[in-house]
Amino acid sequence: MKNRHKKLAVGISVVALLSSIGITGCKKNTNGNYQPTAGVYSYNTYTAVSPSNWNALTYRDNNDRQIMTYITGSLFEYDFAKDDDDDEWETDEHIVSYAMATDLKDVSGEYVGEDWGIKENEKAKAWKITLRQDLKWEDGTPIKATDYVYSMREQLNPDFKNFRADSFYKGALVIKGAKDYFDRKQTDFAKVGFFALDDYSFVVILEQPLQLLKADGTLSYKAVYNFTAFPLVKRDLYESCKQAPITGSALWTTNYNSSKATTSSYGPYKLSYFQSGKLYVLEKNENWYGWKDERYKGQYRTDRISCETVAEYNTAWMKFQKGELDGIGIDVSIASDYKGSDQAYFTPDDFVGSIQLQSSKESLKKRETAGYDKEILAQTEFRKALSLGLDRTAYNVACTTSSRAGFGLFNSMHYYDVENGKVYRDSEQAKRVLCEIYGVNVEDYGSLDSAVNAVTGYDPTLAKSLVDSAYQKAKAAGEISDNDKVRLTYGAAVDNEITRRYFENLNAQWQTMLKGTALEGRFELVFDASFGGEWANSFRAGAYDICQAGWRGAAWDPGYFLLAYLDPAYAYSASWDTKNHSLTFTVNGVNAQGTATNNSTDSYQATMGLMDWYDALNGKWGTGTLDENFRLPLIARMEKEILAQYYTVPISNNYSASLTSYKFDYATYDYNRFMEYGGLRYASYNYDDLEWKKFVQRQGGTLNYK
Amino acid sequence: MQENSTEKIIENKGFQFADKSVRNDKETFSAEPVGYFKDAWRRFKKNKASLVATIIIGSLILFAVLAPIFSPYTVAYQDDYYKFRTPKNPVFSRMGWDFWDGCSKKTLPEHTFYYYLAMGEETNRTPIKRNEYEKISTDKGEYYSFRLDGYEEIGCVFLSLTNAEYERLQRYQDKTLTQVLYPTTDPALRPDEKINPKLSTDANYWYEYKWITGRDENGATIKQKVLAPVFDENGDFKNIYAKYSGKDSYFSSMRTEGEIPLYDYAIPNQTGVEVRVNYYEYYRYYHLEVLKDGIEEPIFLFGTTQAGKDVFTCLGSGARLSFFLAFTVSLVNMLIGGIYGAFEGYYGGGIDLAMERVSDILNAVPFMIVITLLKMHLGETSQLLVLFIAFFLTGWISMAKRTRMQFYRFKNREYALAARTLGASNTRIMVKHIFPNAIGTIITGSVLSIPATIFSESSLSYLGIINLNTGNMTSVGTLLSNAQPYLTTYPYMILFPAGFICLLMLSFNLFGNGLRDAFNPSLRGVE
Amino acid sequence: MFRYVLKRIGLMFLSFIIIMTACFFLVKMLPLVVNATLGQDAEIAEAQIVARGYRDPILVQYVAYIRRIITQWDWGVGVNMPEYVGQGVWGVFIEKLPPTVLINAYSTLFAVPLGILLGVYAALKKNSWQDHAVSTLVMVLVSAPSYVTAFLVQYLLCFKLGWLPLTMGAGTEYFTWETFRSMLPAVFSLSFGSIAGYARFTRAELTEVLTGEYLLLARAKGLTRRQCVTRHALRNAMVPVFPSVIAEFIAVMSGSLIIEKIFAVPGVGRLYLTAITSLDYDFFMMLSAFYTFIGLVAGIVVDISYGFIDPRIRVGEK
Repeated sequence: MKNRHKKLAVGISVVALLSSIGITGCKKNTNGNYQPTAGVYSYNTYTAVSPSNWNALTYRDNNDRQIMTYITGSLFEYDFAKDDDDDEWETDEHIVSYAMATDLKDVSGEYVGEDWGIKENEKAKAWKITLRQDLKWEDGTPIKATDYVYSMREQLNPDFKNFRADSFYKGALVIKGAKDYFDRKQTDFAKVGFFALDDYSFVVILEQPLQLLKADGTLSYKAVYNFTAFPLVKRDLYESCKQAPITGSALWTTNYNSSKATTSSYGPYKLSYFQSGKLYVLEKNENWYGWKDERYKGQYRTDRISCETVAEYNTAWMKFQKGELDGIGIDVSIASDYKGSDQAYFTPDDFVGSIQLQSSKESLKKRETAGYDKEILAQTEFRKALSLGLDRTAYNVACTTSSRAGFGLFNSMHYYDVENGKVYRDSEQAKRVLCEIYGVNVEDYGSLDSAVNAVTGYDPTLAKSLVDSAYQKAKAAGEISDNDKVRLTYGAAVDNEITRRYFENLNAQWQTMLKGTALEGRFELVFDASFGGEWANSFRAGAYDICQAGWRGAAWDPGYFLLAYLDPAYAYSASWDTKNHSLTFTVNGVNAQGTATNNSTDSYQATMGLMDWYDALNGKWGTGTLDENFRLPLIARMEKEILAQYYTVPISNNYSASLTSYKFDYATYDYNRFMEYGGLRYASYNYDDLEWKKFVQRQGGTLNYK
Repeated sequence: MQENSTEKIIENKGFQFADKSVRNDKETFSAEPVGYFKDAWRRFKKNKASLVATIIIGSLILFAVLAPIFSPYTVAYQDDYYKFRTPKNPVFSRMGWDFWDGCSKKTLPEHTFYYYLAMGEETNRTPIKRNEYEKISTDKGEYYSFRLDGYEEIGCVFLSLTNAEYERLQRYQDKTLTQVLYPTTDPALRPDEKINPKLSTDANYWYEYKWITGRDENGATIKQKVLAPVFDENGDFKNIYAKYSGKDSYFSSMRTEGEIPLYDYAIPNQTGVEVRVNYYEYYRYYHLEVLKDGIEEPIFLFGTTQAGKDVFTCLGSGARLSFFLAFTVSLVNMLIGGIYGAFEGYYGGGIDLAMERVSDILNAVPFMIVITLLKMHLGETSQLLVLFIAFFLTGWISMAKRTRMQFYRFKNREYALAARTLGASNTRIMVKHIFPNAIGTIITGSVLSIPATIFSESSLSYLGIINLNTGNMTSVGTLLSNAQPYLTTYPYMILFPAGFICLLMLSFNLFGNGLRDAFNPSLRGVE
Repeated sequence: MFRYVLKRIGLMFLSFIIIMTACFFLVKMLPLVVNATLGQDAEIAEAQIVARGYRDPILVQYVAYIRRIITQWDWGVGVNMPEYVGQGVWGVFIEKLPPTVLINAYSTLFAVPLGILLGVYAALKKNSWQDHAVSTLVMVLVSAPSYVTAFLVQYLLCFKLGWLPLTMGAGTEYFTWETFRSMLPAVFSLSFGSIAGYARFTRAELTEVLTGEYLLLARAKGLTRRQCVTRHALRNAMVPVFPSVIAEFIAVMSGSLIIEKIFAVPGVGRLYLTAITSLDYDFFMMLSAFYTFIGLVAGIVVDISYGFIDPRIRVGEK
């Protein structure tokens, strides 16, 4: 009996120990738990996924950028213009001004010659940037031009294979010799077009010209758009964060900027607390040069930014209603209640959702089974019928909760001339493209605008005739017989309620469209979600027939964005041979010899492959570059050519709805393409933290934002 | 000394000596023998709780069978606009009770209230229940609280119809004298898309409005893109209908009174025409006239999901699938687990060690990886195999452990030893002696695994591992996991599925308790 | 008995090795996903993969992996997991383990005594109204899905009444009053399941044991009803209950995915699932190793515990 008692005693003591630990520890919790104090303005927000690495050299996605925007500065910046009596901002205009840099000069003339590849009177290929003298890190160490050079060398360091290295040897900004250094073809960084002249100025030498100044010598938006990406890392801290390759691997890694200890800020805020997957807090960085600069007077009034990781939307929504969060996206199931709310605002998104139809006829033929044809999808008319058979408005109402019908490759957020706010979709050429592709005759509607408004993308009668003519052609070519059925596979990354809803809506609409055609009752759409993360590459390789995918990005340069639909490495219509797809077009503003003169009398006619036209559009015409309004007709013509293949069928444009708390206001609620709503920089506060706490208590603990 | 109260005094006058000679061996027993199961049933009946539970289970199964038959909707049915509708019981709404009537209580600011008031003015299908509303003034302006009808709240919508459909709608409208088509609004006067993309396609702004942007008392701009109506002199809404253009040949027989052919009912577009219809009436036209699928009114007894599916039908047919899945899974797991556990427990020693290792390894293999691999290589045919792995590969192990433990408890009991000494074969001992004793726990385990399977199916679909929600098939688990993200914003969607599974779990547990006590031979005769 | 335990431990390591090798080869057979975003140079992602040795034959990778663990206890670095790119796997796991263990420990401490008490009470008052009341109450707690009960706890206690914070507090000082208070909603939501489980188990076992002959004997010997129940009945009823306490402890380690998501607990609950969906080899391998090891050890402890509780049972005997 005795030893049983002993065991019982041991059990009880363990239980007592555990519970005592739980209760006794009463000392104050010194971590991020901040008690609201008077005179302090804090902005509390949340994120579904916590950032893991905000190192400018290796950051992966937008989540990682959350912290970067506050702890880094940029050489040049967009500002709201100050109105005449200097106390309010003109929120519909923007100016480009010097921030960490004080001067930008085109020094191409000084570096003419073989080793930098600059010819005699070539312009805009070498730029000299002069820095402010009072730039400091958060701990006071001064920032010099050599720090920029050190950071660029680490960015291109071949041992690390840093994720963001290609921002400097691919795309619009290509630094001379960067690719060779990154590929270890040459190991002397002095040969790379990025070196310091003295402590406060450095020179960047480019492969292709990039005009950063306007005609009158002032900064163009391009200075900010292209030259913001220069990374800056703190030398001593970065060296200490280097990790040698582990056994069995040859890759150097770094954990710079991935925790509080490994972070150093040169922006308006510094990281004062970080717990991965839970909370990070940013507070004002006293050593930021901006506090003493006249230009920032009245800005950055936020003293403290705290961001908690909350993965569950219900929890975040309840915290918002209790005043613990200052901003949240509205779940569209309740958006109608907030239709009249002062705090709600709606932002269009540059994402264009489309249906992708398989472009490789061989893969269609290979995957056909007895009695089931797939090759009819190779008939352009059949693909056009699938596009015109979709009521896009009904699709967007049924399947997605915050989107509207979309018809072109670009939507209202894409600008062909962002400096003057010229939206591509509003241009006459872009409107004509939609009318021609969707078969709307402008004369029937009087004006081009009413014709474009009449485009619905849904024409079942025309679609039915197209199906029949495609069917006859396929039959004549012996690809399909009268008792064959058509079976197409709709692929997706995951099999869940949402992907199924899209699939069932498309299937229902196509079955109704096919009524009264040769394929009535002989068309099957099969759902297959076995591709998982590989769904995009499998579609490009021809593994299945239909998928839904869209593109986002490069909203200020639609000409460059065409790459997503033309370059087989990215385009879903990977088997469409854009190299040899010839297009005859006449470009204005380019003389007969092919050099850009930018005067409308000149015109240049050529018949080239689509990829050649793309390179010309984004490259140089002879020695000059083409102005935006001369590039527009070519962009429109190429959009039309891509749409006319019906490999990509645009179907929806998204927008988002969100609420801000009563605590603060953005500078404006009219979306400004450069400044958006002014962000925290221009935000003003109606309550400090203590007043806000009392305000919430006065409302009974829960706020009503309806 | 406290008197010992357990003793009872029995007088001897009621007794008399029995006469030994009066024995009659020939008379057979009148009561028939009480078999094992008959006794179990008798004891089961005595336990009131499990009887009630059996009735509940019976009614749930009945609901699962009957609901999809009697409901006009199918599982695949999806409505574009009636999403997130509150449940509506025709009886309750006809009796005028403010409960389960498809309405929800709202307290909205002034201009949103006018938005709903205007709907009633134009189509007299007012979304404000009984037109009763109460004005409350707060420091943030005027608020109105009222009951908003979830089915009338949609109001009018823009539709693109082909010319044939347009004519057919006109013929229906003239035949049934119900107004579906309303004058369309002048495109130039519709809310500007640039300011608010959501309002520009809203067909309920048929009245003149102004954007409220201006400065409030201390000069700060009121920031909002909100539309407030502009009333005419006697306080009515002024319409912004499209003036008659001559192109639209249709003269609606249901003219709004006082309207000589002043307005256009259709604007030509690529599809044919763009019209403005009251969605409730259009819904009845479309189902009665075009689809002819037996749906007259949009009445969703249990409300609709975020995809516009009718929860009542989905729950009914989902319950069928879930019951079928749960019964088969627990039956199969019980059999395999029972036999496996029996062998393990009974034979012990080397066999037990080996069999234990097999179940350990099977239990430890991360089936998530196996499923992803299968999906990757097998493509579409993997769906059944995935289901098999998710439920059967490791489902039986818990049952095996339970049976093994029971066998360890009973295998060396006196009666088992006695049977072995009498030369009974191992199987006979197992089946005749040990199994009945273990039957109680095994039955409880398998009965409890029925709701547990439904639960695990719900979390598996929540994690995206399996998806039983395809075409005309759905399951209770899918309904639960689809409703979870809307708990704070739209709690009705989870109300009935959660209620169903609560009732199910409750009744199965009580039923299990009753069953175990009934089947437990050692409880025979105990009161 | 001791020899049996030694044999079991030996076998345990054997199955552990088999499982680990199986996991390693299974996960390495899944194709590694490289999705280049627009303008992103696909070669970089590919170069990183090659440099990490992911393109070597699987056997070579396995040997390097095992050597790294044995020599430097280096379980590798997160590669694809969105929240832990570049962070040491073991470090992240250890940092996130305490909240999960504490929440589960508190909920077990709260639920086990309560559950057993309810079970005993129900068993003693068998088939009376108290018995049905307890059973129905307990069943209702466990019938609703966990995310519904957790939501109700959060909505009532934290949102409407405001007694407790909506999410768990930040910081690593877990034993301060604020953090403890912020853990309570999660503890309550977790404990419903175990309260119901223990109550039902104890009631079932106790009712069965109460009918045993030896209890009649004990009563006949003059023990009071209370002494019989505590000394004899309860002991035997513990046989199946005790392993479920151990099984509960395994659940402690894996944490409840849903509860941690709802109350924003920075625990290990979601690590395993995210590791698989984002195909992060090192995270997946380390977590599989950890959970398998704990599972196997718990299996042995449970089997041995039977011997202690009920001497008549010699587990493993013929």
